[in-house]
Amino acid sequence: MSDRSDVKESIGRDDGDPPSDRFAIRIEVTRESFNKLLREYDLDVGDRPLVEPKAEGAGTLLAFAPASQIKELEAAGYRVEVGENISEIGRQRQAEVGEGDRFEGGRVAPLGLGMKPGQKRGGTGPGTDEPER
Amino acid sequence: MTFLNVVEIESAVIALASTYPTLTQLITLPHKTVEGRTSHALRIGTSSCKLSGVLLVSGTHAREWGGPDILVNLATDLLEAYIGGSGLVYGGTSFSDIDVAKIVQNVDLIVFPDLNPDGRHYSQTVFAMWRKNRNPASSGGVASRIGVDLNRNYDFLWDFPTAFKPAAVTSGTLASTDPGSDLFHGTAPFSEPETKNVRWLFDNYSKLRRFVDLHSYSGTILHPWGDDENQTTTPSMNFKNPAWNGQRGVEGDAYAEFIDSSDLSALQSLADSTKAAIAGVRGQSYTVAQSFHLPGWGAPYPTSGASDDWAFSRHYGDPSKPLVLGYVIEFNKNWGQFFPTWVEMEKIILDVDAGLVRFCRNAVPTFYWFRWCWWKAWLWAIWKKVFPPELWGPYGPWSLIKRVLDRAIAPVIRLIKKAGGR
Repeated sequence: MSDRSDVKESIGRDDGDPPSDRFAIRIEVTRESFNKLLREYDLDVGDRPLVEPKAEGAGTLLAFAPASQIKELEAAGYRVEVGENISEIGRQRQAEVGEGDRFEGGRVAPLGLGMKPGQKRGGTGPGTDEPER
Repeated sequence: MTFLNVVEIESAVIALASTYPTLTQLITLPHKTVEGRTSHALRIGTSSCKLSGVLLVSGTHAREWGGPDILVNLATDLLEAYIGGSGLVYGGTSFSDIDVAKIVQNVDLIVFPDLNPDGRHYSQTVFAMWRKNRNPASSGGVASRIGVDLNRNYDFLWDFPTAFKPAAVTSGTLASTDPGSDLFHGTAPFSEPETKNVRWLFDNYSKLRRFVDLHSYSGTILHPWGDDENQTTTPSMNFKNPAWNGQRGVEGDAYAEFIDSSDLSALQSLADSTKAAIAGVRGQSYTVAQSFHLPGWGAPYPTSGASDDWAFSRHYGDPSKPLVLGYVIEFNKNWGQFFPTWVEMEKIILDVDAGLVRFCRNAVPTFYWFRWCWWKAWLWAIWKKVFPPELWGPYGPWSLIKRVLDRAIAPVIRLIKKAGGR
C-alpha cells in the first residue's frame, strides 16, 4: 500500500470521460458491514468480491474506488487503506498492448507458448495442415 | 510479446483458420458490436462424428485483459501439436500426442476469444478499468453511463427485481437497472449484440455440451447455480417457477435452486479435474466453488443474468435441449491484477491452457459412443453408395426399380396371403 498522498483529487465518476482514476483499497469489514457496503455503495469489487478472512466473522475487503468515493467511505466511518492507483497501472500496461497487427490481417499465424516435445516448431504455414503421422 | 489488441485477436483467428483449413472452420458471428466490429470464432475438429462440443469464450469484461490471449494460445497450441504429431507440455502438466489427437478429432471445439471488442479497445487505449461494452443507448448522453455488463445480460432470472427477494435485489451484487452502474444489465435479456453472438453459437452448434467463460481475477472455478444455494431434493423449487418469485437470492431461507444430483457431481468432477491440471503447471491452486458463494468468506454473492447459469439452465428450462455444463474460470490468483505484466501473463496462459486442454480432453466421448457413431457413419456411407441421392426422387430410376420390384413381389405376397387364408 502506498502513501495517501498518491490519492489524487479527481473529477467525480459520473461527470467526465474518461472516468476518474480508481485506487486499490482495503476495507476492514464484518459480515454485516460487508453486506451493508455492497448494498449502500456502488463499490467496484472487481469481478467478484475478495475478502481476506481475519478473525471470526471479520476480514479485509479488497476493492477499487475513486478518490471521491474513498472520502465518502471514510466519512461514513469505514477504515480504508488506500493502495496503488490501479488506473495508472492500467495506463502503464497499455504500453504492453500490441500495436498494428502482427498477424497481418490473417496472413501470419500465431505461435503457441506450450511446449511440443519432439517438434522443431509450431505453425507450418498456409495450406500445410495435413498431419504427418 | 505483448497483449493482443482487438484487431490482432480477429487476425489471429482468421490466420489459424487459413493455416489449418482442413482442421478448422472460421465462424463469422452475425451480430456486429455497436461500434461496428465483427467478431469471429474458430471451430476446431476433424470428425464427422461430432458427439460432444465445447464452447470457450473470453473477453466479456473489457478490463480482464488476459482471456483472449489465453484462448488464442490454446487454439494455436492444439493445432500446432496436432499437425506436428506431438503432445503438449505446460510446466508440470503434460498431454500426450494421443490426447491432442483425440481432442482435435473427436471434440467439436469452438473458441470465441473476444466477446466484447469495443470494451477491450476502450480499456486498452483510453480507460483501462472499463468493464462493460460500449453501448450508449441507455446513457442519456453521459459518457460514464455508457455500456452494459454483458455478464448480467443473459436470459437467466434477468428480471431480478421480480425474481429475487427484496433483500437480494438491494444487495448490490445481483445486477443493476442503473446504466451508471458497472452491473447494468441492459434493457432486456440478450439486448446486446455480444451476448446474442453467444446465444447464436448455442443455437447453431447443437452438440455443445460444455461451456467456459473466462474472467479474472482470483483463481477460482465457479459452477452453477449463481442465484441461490443448490438443493437436490425439490425439483419444483426452481428458477422457472413463478410461485417462487420474490424469494430467491438469500442464504439460509426457504428457497434454494434445484439441481439434479448427478448433474452437480458432473459439474464438480469436471471442475476438480481442471483444477488439478492447472495446479500441475506451477502449483497454482485454484478453488472450485458454486458461484453463489464467496470462497473463504462464506457470504453469498447472488447474481442474475450470468453466462454459466444461462448455459446450464437451457436444459432445465427446456428438456429437449442438451445439458451443458457451464463454468466461469476466474484466472490469475493475484488480487487486483486485471493487468498483469506480459511476463506474468505468459505464465497464467500456461496455467489456464493446461486446465482447458484437460477440460476438452474430458469432453472426448467414450468408446461406446464412438463405436455407435462409426457404425452409423459406415452404414450411411454404404446406403449412399447403393442408393445415391440422385436415384431417390420420385422420377429417378430407383423409384422405377422399386415399382418394378413391387409389381414382381405383389403376386408372391398375394399367393402367401391366399395360402395363409386356407
